[in-house]
This record gives sequence, structure tokens and C-alpha cells, in this order.
Amino acid sequence: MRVEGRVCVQGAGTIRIGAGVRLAASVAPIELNAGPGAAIVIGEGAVVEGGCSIEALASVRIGSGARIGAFSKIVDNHFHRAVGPRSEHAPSVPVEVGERAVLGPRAVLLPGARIGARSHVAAATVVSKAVPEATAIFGMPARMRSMA
Amino acid sequence: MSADRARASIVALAREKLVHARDYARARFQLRGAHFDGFFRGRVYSGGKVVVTGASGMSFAPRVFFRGGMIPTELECAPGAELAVGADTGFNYGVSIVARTSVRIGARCLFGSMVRVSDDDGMSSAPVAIGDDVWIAYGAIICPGVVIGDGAVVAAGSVVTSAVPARTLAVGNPARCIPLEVSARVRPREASSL
Repeated sequence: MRVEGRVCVQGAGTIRIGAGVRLAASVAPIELNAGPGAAIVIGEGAVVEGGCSIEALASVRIGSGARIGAFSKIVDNHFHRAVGPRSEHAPSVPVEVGERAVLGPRAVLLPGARIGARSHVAAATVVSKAVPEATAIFGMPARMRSMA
Repeated sequence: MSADRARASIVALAREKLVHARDYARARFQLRGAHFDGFFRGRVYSGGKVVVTGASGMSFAPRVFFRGGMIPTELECAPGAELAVGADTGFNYGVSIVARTSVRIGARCLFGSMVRVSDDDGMSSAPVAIGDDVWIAYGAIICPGVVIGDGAVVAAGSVVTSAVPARTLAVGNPARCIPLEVSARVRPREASSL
């Protein structure tokens, strides 16, 4: 594993980082925040670029060889309710990034996002649902197109 | 209650008071020159780095808080401009608020990390007004001239360019509005950004 720059690790949960992972935080820090009982798993050979923030209250898994673009955000819980008391948490929904998937810079993965293997999330795209394998997702609102 | 538990809870309470005092002192230092509601009534808290330019135009109601984090929060108020923040409003890390004319923020609002608010983007310049009980999620961008009604929610990553009515969900770039009750009940195809 290679760490460049500053990685802010918070929370009482588990963070598991595979072999050959590169945390390229030399431009801006990377935040890994696993709440109590939660797990963040980063697979072998994955690359996480600077400014990324990964927060888990249940589970965030990043597949081997995946690439998370700069200033991305991955959360498995909204942390607030839109309807109802603002300070209440909605239930967490695990987030998964498939093997060799690529997230462009400033991508946002919300609770329930599941990016299939070898898929591509375009820059600044917000994803909250499942994306099949080898699919490009882009635009806001997001649209998908198969890359096969 | 046993003596040990009583001692532990007193220690926890003392630690909490010390943290509050530290965060209050940090806020009063970072925001020196701004207007507060008073020394004790106007308690504002800062848990991290806040970079302030032009504090004399800023005013903070009681219990405004800034959460610390890996990226500093930035508050900027040009000479003659005003930046007003309502009571109990909270800001996560990396928020950037720039006022060249006027930015007003209501009470009990929540600003997610990396949110950007500006009343001047180099092309247009118009006051920004954010109502009470507004939740602006991660990374959203509020453009000049935007008025956000009470109780609204801005979805993560959205870019808001026009007015958001009260109790509405604004989602997308540029943001489109859906009534909050509707968005919670139904998940239409095009709302995949939330």
C-alpha cells in the first residue's frame, strides 16, 4: 500500500485496505470514516485520488483495481432525513464499487449505489442506484449507456 | 448509581464542557470582528479551520456551528456586503460562502461538506437568500440570485440556478424542483440523482 499526503481516518469501525492500494492524497487529504460496526473495504490495487471522502455507517466496498477520482464522495447513509426530523438518520444502504470500475473526479455515490465491474462514472455524476457491468453513467439526471 | 459510574459521568460532562469552551474560543477567534448576539447568548462553535475575510460584514445568531474536517471552511464578505447566518445553523467542512452584496441564511439550516454559496460568480451578481430549516447536501452549488424557501432540501451534487420553493427538493444540474412529500413517496426514473 502506498500513501501520499494526508489520510484522515475517523470512526470506530473497520477499514480494510488490500495490497497495492494507492492513496494519492498529496494535493488534498483523503477521508475514511467508518462508524461503529461499519466496514470500509478497499480491494487490491485500487487507487483513491486526493480530496475523496468515504463515509460508512454500514458497508462501503471498493473492488480491486478500481479507481476513485479526485474529490469524490461515497456515503452509505444520507445522515439526515429530507421529510421528518432533520437530525434523524435514515437506514444505511451498502455501497459497492465493482472491480476495475472508474469514478471520474467529483463523482458522488449515495446510499444504494452499486457500480458494476469495469463501469465508468463520469465526472460530477451523482449515482444512487445499481449500474450494470461495463456501463458508462453520466449526466444529471444520470443516463446510462453500455460500453460493451 | 455507584461511585465509579458517578465519577465517569462527571468526567464525561467536564470533558464535554471543555470541548465546548475550546470550540467557542476557536470560533470567537476565527470570526473576530463579526457581529454576535452577545458574549454568552451568542455562542458560536467551530470544530476546525475556518478562513475568514471581511468579518465586519458578518453576523451570526446563537449556536451556529462549524464542523471541522480535512478541508477548511471559507467565509468571505466584501466591504459593504452582508453575510447573515441564523440560529442553530451548522456547516460541515469545506463549505465556501462568498458575499459580494448579500447572503442571508436562515435558522436551523444544514450545509453538507464542500457546499459552495456565492452571490457573485463573475457573470451575474445578485443577493442569495436561504430560508429556515433548509438542508443543502454534499457538494451542492448555490448560484447568485437564488432564493431557497423554508424547509427545502438541495440534493447532493446539485447546481441551483433559480428559486427553490418552500418544502421542495431541488435535484440536478441545473436543479429541478420536486415537492418533498412527492419525492419521498415516489422514486421516478429521472430522479436517479437522489
